[in-house]
Amino acid sequence: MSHNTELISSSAKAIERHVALLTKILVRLPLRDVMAFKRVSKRWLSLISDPYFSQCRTTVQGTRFSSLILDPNFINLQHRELTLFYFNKKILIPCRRRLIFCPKLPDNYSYILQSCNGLMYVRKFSDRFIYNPSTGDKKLLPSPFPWFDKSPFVEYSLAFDPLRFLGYKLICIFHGKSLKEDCHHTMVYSSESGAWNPYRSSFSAPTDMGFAYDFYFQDLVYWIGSKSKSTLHFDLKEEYVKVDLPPLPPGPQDLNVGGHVYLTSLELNSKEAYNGYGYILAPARGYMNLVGFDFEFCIPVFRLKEDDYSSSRKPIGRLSTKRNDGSTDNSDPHRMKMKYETIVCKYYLEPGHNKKSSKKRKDTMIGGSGASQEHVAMRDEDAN
Amino acid sequence: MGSPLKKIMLCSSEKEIFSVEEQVMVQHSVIINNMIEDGSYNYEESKIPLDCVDSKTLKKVIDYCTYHTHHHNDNQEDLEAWDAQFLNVDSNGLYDLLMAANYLEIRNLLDLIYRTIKNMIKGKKIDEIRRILNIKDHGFTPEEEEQNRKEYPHFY
Repeated sequence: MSHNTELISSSAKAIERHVALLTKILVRLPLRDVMAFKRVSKRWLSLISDPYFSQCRTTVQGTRFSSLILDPNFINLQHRELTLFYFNKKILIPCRRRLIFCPKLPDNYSYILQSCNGLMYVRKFSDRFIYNPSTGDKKLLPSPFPWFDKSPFVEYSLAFDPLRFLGYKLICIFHGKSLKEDCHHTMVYSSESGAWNPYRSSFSAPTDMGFAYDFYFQDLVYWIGSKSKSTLHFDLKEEYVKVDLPPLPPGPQDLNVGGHVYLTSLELNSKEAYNGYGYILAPARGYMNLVGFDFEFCIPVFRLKEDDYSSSRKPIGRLSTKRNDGSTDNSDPHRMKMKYETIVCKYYLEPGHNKKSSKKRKDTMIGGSGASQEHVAMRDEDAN
Repeated sequence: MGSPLKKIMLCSSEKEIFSVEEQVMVQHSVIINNMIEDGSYNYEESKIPLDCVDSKTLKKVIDYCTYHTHHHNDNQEDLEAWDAQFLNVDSNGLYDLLMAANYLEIRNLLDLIYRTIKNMIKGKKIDEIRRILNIKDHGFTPEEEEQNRKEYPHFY
């Protein structure tokens, strides 16, 4: 379209002034251009920096950038460099220096506390930042208390999801003055208001709840207890913690459960000393999953299903749970048991959600794997 | 097919009247569709005034709607070729079309023009963008501008 490369004065100016039209054009550009064009003018800078812009862009382009950022901070403290793996390309490509959008750490003194959908919650000395590794933008967070470090029990959880809400949110969990169980409180910081919400909701939690590691999933922030294996979630829309704990599947004895399980070579070599399962929460394929693993690398996946709130009368995010692997498969500990039986789970975990074809589907499932029969049994109980 | 095709009247900013098949505009323009549906258009007397669209642009818009109504079964390549030919206009013409399509809410045409302008600025350097869109006052202080140029020379 070489004939179109010159726009002339008046009309060009009007496009530039018409923010809605300009936005529609700019959201179609590749990320590289968007980043560069921030410097075209102040108007473009504010337009592109607006959270609304990134929401539009994600919606229009329809694809989410899928990658994993690794921080090898234990290996080389002098030359810390993040490694980026792309999941939507066939080969895993570690990011190279010459690429413009190689994610970088702000400096060697920063420590990544959490990350969520491409934003990072970073600590540097006594300050806390929200850091965007693709753009290098960094924002100092105000503390809800006089100091970040001085409170006896405070944990923060970052939630960021441009498809679901504007900006990011930070949830502060802190302990009340007494040491009873039921005095955890929450406060929410939202980047839109730029302030901590003074409204505090209270809830009780098991003492082993791992508030330091949160798992964001579809407007909910989850935590898991390191020993009790119970989960809590915080509803970002209603801004309070729900304590309806889903029944969790039975597992081997002496469970060793953690939000993050660190494996050292010592532990790996002394299998007898570390005899049990580790569990993590892992959002994947549109579900929140509880993934267990032991040192035989036997991996059961439990699907903590979230209700589809467009068609359900239940409140958002009620959990039901079901062990996803067949119980008869335990004979072979070396076998990987990860399964994605989406349809089965969808039908039998949601008894209220009957469809015309469900009976027919049930018939086809009986006689299949052991897992399906278990599901059917559970459903019959519910009907009674 | 027996009934005669209903016509509606569109009036450009120069007060020139264009008579168009109703179906053509209803299919493409959300605004005109709403107008016909809520019964505010009188076939005997009304004409729809489009004060911010000049005759030349309105003619192009009608051409676009008519072609896409009658050729929507054509294969994609032919349609794209026609679209490319259709948008072979100078920049002011393109901009006028954008405003008209925006005013009449013709989604396909809007998308087409957005894509065209996007392609004009995609991969360009900042200085080129400023020249293409005639941005003289970028709003940065000389210090900020100098800092940006120093920090990101490959963008300029």
